[in-house]
Amino acid sequence: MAEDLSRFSDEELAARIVSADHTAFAALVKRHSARFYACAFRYFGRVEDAEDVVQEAFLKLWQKPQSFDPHKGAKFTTWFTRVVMNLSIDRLRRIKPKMGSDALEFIEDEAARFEERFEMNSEQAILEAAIQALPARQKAALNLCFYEGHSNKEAAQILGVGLKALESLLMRAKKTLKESMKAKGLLD
Amino acid sequence: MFERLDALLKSRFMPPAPQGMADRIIARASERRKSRSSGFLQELWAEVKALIDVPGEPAYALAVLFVLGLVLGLLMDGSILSAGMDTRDLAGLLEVNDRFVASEWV
Repeated sequence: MAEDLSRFSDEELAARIVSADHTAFAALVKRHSARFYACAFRYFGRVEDAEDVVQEAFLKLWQKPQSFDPHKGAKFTTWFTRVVMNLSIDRLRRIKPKMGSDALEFIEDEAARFEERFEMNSEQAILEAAIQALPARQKAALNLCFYEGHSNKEAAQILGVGLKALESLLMRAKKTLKESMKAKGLLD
Repeated sequence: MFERLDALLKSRFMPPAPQGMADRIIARASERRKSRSSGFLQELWAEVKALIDVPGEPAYALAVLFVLGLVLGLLMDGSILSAGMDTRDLAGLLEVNDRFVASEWV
């Protein structure tokens, strides 16, 4: 009979992965893949890139499970958020040249893609495109604090910056977004 | 300052995760099971190699010294023979008088 792994904590499952326990790995993937997919999607606005990143992150965990050290005090989800974020930012740096230099033009093109691909309304599509046009670290700060439910302190830890620097990233992200939304006639 | 923007941010769209994504990840990990165990053997081999390994530069220097020693050895052998001595003369030089007469020492 298959063992019921649902009663195990993330950290306990991660410890079992060290001894190549594939069922523990499968339980962890099933428990968290949708959550981390959402996390990755917020960096790209692209289904394929988000799935690739989540897959890469879990395979890294499978092949080098010792990279997660529960004795350092971090929760598994906090540590794995950092892994997904770093992989996403690396990938963003590689694909960024496609963005070009004109942010408003980029927002227009991306918004059209979002409307078509995901059937978003135009307001949601412009918002998503404006978020995608943000610099990577501002986007990360916004995602961590606004959508992934991390406190400012946790978000600062994940990003590896101080609290003030995180607040500054958030403020700049919101200012840039406000300006973009104004330029598109969605805010006064 | 950002009230309207915050309200907009709350309405951000999120598509559902692709169907079967978790199963695909689990299957890919299964494929990598074998490479993971061979990865352990590779790590073990790397440890052993690290114990006996000589770093690049010293290894090169040792190889040069070995070749130099070999060449010098060959040249020296040739120089003695070329100084007008043949192998019998050399044997004479190396002959040891081992005929021991006790009365000469007592």
